[in-house]
Amino acid sequence: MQELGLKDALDSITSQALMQALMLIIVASLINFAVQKILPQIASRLGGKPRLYLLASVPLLRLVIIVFTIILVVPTLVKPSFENMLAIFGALALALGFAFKDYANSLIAGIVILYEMPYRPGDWVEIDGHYGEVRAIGTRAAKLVTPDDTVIVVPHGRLWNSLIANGNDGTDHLMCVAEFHLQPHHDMAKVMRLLRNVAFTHPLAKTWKPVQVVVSNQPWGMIYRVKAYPVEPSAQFRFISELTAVGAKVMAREGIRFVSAPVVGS
Amino acid sequence: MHKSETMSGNAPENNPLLPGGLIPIEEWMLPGASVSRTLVGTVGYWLEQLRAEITRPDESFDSLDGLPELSADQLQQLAPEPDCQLHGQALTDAVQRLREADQCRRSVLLLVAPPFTGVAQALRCFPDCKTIRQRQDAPEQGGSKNYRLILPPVNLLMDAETARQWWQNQPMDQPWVISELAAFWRRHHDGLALVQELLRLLAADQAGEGVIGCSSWCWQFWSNYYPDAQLTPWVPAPMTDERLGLWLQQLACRNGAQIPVVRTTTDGLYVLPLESADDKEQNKKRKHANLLRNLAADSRGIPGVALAIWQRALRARPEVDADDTADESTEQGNLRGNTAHSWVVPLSQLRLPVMPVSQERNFGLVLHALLLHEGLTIADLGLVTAIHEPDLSLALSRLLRADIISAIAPTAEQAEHIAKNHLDATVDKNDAESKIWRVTPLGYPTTRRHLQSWGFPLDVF
Repeated sequence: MQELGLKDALDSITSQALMQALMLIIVASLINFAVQKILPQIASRLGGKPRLYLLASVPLLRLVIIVFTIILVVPTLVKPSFENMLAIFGALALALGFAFKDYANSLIAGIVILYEMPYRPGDWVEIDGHYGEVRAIGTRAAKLVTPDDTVIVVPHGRLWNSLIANGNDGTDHLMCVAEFHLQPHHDMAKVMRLLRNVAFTHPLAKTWKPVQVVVSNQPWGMIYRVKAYPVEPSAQFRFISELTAVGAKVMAREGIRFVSAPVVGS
Repeated sequence: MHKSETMSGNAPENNPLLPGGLIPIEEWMLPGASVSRTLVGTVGYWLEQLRAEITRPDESFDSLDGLPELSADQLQQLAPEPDCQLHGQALTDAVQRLREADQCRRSVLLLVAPPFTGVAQALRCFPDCKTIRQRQDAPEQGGSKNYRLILPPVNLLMDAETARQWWQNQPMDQPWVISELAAFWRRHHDGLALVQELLRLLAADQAGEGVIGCSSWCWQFWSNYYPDAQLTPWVPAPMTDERLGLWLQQLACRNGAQIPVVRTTTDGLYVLPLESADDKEQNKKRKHANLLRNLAADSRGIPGVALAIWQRALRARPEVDADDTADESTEQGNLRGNTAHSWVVPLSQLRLPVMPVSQERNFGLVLHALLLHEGLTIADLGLVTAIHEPDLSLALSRLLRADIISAIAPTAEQAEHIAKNHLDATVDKNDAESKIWRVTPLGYPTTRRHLQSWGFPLDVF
């Protein structure tokens, strides 16, 4: 402690300096409190974008107040000599190092992502159960926009531990799957043919990519999975919806019924 | 440097009505443009899209340059539409040669061609065309029968059994021809049966002797639907600059006129006639423009598109060549083609239709469907695109204003066919519902580029 010069630094603190620092902290806290309480009340009387901008400014203002307070308080308590500053910044660096450990982890992961490219802007990925389109890749995190227009921020550090499922991997080929759960006792070959035609004749189908129908048997019936590619990934939801709708219409015409609810055997 | 080929047309690849003859589809290659032309064209397209996005113009198509275009009569003389009968005869001869040379061993020959090649119209004339052997034989000898044209049913949505019965009722015991396979199906899960059954008959060699014409876009669909079906189609050779020059010359000379002299408006370089060996012997120094090469590239080797651009590029005010001692009577705008010159603007100054800007896919869906089926009524368009009103009409009106598509009343033959086969149908030529929507030849290049940028399936041409 002596080598760090902390003892000398602490010895130079006077009671007057302490009072000054305390007053600064109290004033800053009051201003902080006022910002936290008054600005949201003002924002609630506004509407639209001004309200959002005002609410977003609250944490920023608090940060500015805290930084200014530190800038004003530290010189009051500690004489800005070389040894004192070295001591303080040394302690600060140690604390920040522990605090920003995860941030640095994500920063390095971000650099690895540029090289490995597990996802790119425009990719449709699933990470930890969240599916969406990668809209932006920042320094620390990537932004995912879900089909419900929710933005999810995924730290790049997830790369080390999570499984990342990428649907199109930098291309515009995204396979879509429409499922049909049908009651048994029907001509399966005919159903496969009909569903293939439904997919192949869809206006948005990429006809030069494979169109497949895969069927599997379950205790309660048959599952048909129609796999095809739409002309662009953003059309996937319309594509799947219309495949399902037209396929259901065709099945109804053939007298093939859907399973109402899967029956779970004991 | 252009070299004229023989105009006799004795060799099949030198027939000016079918330059290059028929070739296997694998040998087809896109005519190349100069690097500068390709770059300028690409950048120009995107700048037009950006400009349209920013300024939101009226979107109606109009030409930019101020020179008057040729009148209909002048165009009919200088750049008329091809004669389907002659084209059909050239195709008949080409098909006969393929069979006699044992290059096509299948009993049914599949002819695939890009849109606006005129193959469908020419094949419709097959029943009236005589083969080489028939022309050589004496009439009393009889000889082989002429082709019989098979027309599609009015209602194309049918099941497999109905399709089978329909084909059984067609006269396939004598040579038959289908002018356009695209008219025999609809991109709908119930609209595939007729073509599926036909292809089954072809695979089983139960279809007799025939010729099937197929649009390249229709072929793209069916070759992907049956990827293992090796039908080895034949295609007309692409229109390179030389072939295009020959073809345009023969069009202009069809009415007995001499080969016209066509020069560019900017620098007076010669476009027609093509450079020949006679020019060198007579020490005629003529500098030729690169226009035909660019025209072949811009039109993607498709004669109908090239002709439309050529007709648009031709200008009035024919002038007399300064080297000739022409008198005033020759300078009266007389386009007899004897000594008068005609003028053509460089393609870089020509403004072709530009695709309207839209954030939705409806334009692409409509245009792709129109190319797939070589023209559709509004009802069929709604069926194959699944676009409902009023979105469909809105898209059609915007594309119509931009001269990308056109609406054509059904021909008398089509109306008769509908009335004959569908007793409940009444075809009124003025009725909007019975009009057939098609992509225009001038709109085809931008249409194809639009479909490519939006990821739609494209033909191989």
